[in-house]
Amino acid sequence: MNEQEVRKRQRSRAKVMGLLLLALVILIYGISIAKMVVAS
Amino acid sequence: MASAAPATATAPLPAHWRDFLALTKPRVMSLVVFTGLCGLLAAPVPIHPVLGFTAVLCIALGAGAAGALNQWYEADIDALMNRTADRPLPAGRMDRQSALHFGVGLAAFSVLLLYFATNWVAAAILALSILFYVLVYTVWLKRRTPQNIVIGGAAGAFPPVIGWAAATGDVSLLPVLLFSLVFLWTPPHFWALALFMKSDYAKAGVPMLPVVAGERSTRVQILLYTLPMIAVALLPFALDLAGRIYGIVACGASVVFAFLSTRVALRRSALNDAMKPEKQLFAFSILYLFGVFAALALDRLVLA
Repeated sequence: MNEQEVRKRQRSRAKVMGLLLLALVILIYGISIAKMVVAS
Repeated sequence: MASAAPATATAPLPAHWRDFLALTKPRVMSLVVFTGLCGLLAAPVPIHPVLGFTAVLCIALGAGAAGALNQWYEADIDALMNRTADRPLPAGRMDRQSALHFGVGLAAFSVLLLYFATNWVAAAILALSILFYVLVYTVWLKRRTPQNIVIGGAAGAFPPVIGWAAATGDVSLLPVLLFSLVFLWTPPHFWALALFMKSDYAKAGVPMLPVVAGERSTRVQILLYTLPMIAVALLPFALDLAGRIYGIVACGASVVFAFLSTRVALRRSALNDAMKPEKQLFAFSILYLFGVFAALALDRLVLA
């Protein structure tokens, strides 16, 4: 298994993880706003 | 996710993110998500779109987590069946510990997020459904009894109840009927599949009904479960819990389901049989559930 291949795989996983975390931040923000709207 | 492997010449290649996605059984998830969404839309209380989206997302994540834990536990028998041999674990593209961590983490995350976005009733039912699928169906029943999918079918029947609970915060008669419908639909659906995948299950030592009790008994059982399933499918209309759109679709689709399952019940397979009627029943059973639940949601939207 060459190092280049391992690094490539790690990079693609890191990118997906980053996108998922960004989506989570947006979702939590959206949920908070929605709950405030529902409560008011 | 799996821990990053040190980049040496002997280190195994870290699993691809697509393998983690495959671990969640995305195709199975589509029906679960759809029935959950319809349960949510059928509720008499409107839910904020963002919260509704989150509830459906959590149902999907919970189902994915249950699928991942199922594959973690069943890697040995998955390797023996043609249908499942290419999954990430039996194919050697992922180590078991990564699958376990991913499944447990995703399960906990989905339950907590659902609680945060909606209410504890929905979150508790989601937790129960994941535990039921993993502990009761996968660990306890699947390798021990031909009734595995009858009792285990309850796990797949929870999503409409979770959707309903997310919107209303409680569980009433209609979601219980929807639960019963999916519960009674599961045996004819899976036994139709098991009839034409019998050799696969036998090879893996999974005691599916056609392997243990034979084809004749399985065909009769398919019909025996179809009849109460149809009765339950018609109950929401009969009890005035759903409108005419649902009534017409449920009646029409149930007639076709009854015809297909009767045809399967009455026939005997020949040597090298293509099992066309069994495949047709399996395919239609998926369409049936989609159709009936879509009609329920449409009914509610039109009436609203």
